Amino acid sequence: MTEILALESATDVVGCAVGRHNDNLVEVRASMLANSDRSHGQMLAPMVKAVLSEAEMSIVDIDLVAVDCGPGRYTGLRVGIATAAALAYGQSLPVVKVSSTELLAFGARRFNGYIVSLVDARRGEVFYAVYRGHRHQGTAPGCWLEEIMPPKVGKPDDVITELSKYKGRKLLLGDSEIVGSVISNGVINNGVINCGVVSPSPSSLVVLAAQKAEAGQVWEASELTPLYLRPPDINTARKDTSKKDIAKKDAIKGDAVTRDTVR
Amino acid sequence: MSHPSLVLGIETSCDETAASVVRDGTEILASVVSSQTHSQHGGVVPEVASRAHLEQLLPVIDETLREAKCRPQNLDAIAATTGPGLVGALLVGASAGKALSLAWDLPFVAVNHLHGHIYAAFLEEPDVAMPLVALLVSGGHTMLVEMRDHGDYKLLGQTRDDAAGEAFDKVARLLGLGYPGGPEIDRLATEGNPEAVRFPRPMLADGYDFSFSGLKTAVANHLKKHPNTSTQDVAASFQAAAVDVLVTKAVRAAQNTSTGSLVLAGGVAANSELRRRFAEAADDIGIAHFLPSRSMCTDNAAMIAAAGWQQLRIQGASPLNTAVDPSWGFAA
Ligand SMILES: [Zn+2]
Repeated sequence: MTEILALESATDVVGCAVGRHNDNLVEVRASMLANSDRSHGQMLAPMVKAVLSEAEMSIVDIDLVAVDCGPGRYTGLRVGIATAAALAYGQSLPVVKVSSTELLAFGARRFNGYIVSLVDARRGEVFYAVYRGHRHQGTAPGCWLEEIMPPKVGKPDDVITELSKYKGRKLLLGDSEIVGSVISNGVINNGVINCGVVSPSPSSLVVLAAQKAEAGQVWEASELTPLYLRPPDINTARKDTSKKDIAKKDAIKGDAVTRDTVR
Repeated sequence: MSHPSLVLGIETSCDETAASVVRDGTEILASVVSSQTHSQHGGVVPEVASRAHLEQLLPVIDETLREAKCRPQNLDAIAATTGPGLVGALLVGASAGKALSLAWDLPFVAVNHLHGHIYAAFLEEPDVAMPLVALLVSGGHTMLVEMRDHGDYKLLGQTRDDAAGEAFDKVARLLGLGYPGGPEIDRLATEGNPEAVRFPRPMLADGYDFSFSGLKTAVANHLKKHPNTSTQDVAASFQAAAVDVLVTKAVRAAQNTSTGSLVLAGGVAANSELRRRFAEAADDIGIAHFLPSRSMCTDNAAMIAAAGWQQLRIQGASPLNTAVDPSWGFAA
């Protein structure tokens, strides 16, 4: 039996769920979800606490931490990973990392065809990835997802170009604006297109994490890294910030702290 | 009531990822600072800083706990900086701090970075007499603060434009020096004549507020008119003007309040001329002064743990839904 704590903070959604994987059953015992513009950092930790207490559990009961590692909004993404990594580090727990696009697609894993996940990347771009559902072999329920194309960032037109490579039914998933931006940029003329307006769900993350853990895809807290997919924007240098003296990593031991004498 | 004694401090407000374990707000068991280099960009890039904090924070915390020979079950609280600073950078430390408080069932304390700078003094001199007047000078801040007791602050004055450290950086750029410019100016000034150029002392006569942008402009104008002035002389003369204003106002504040001691704090407090003049001026008026060691002037987490320890005693823990506040002012 594995008790799983799942955190979602990489997109517009901030949420948390706790669930139990036991034999061929994954039971989500409590979950919370909010659409929040920029208060992920305020909401996530209280949600973890609330979800645990609703499930009548404590953090020491948890066996596994799962987190959405993006791509998504950089700030929320870091809130989620910092929280997950610190919880896992603090309790010496393994972690499962999933991408936001896989988490989106997972909700539609029974779709017979290509599942295309779309996540807002701002600046007129989208994060996108392509998956296919297959029948699952292990004990965790449902189908599993094959990654046909890993997450990328591009213009809506790039998505259209990418999609033209895949013959057959396609399902576009994401929030309405993003799905709309891709559709309005040119409806794909080969293959049936379906659309679904969905957000990554922490409850889905519990089930996906159970599958991944069963397949041995677990990591250490220190191995949680965000999927940024873009280099940092360096045109925003704070030229007004002055930093003194310490150029390299230095460690000060208590007994080594000396008061400077003034000449 | 038994007071918590071991506090883990976390600091990620700008470009230093730091953690520390402090006992009773005064004794540093370990303090680890991992500094990022942003010199190739000529300033701190917020997104680069946030990414680096996320990579560095847990290794830094782990190293700190190992160095302090401290197990999580020995800790009594987690204190993290929640402002002021870069929002994305603050969120990394605050999120990790809250999560560790959940993981270890410890109180979380949201600490003001500026309070932390003042507490750097208490780390090295637990008996600093209060009320005290602190001159807090860094790349982001220039302020005079009266601290009447733990948790009782009064902002006396602050800069109306550039921070002192900012002025050092901007002048360093005018002189073609690297970033950060403060240490370079400090070094060059020792070889120059501080009276070579008489730069203005902005707002010297009035109140406790500061203004440094005019001083920077004066340096720029001087360099345009007299491009051949030696870099050393310009550095020394600029530094003399800046230090003059800072020290004069700190002394005035000390004399006009019932101050027991004068404390220097913040990154610019590492400047050797400022330290020398500050100490000299305090001696002249017979007020005890305290200059933190250079490693305690720059950002570190020991000062956050120390401030957090006092805050926990006075105000109790902070809620887990505490927001980071990039422009958090001094008032508690
Ligand atoms: Zn600082």
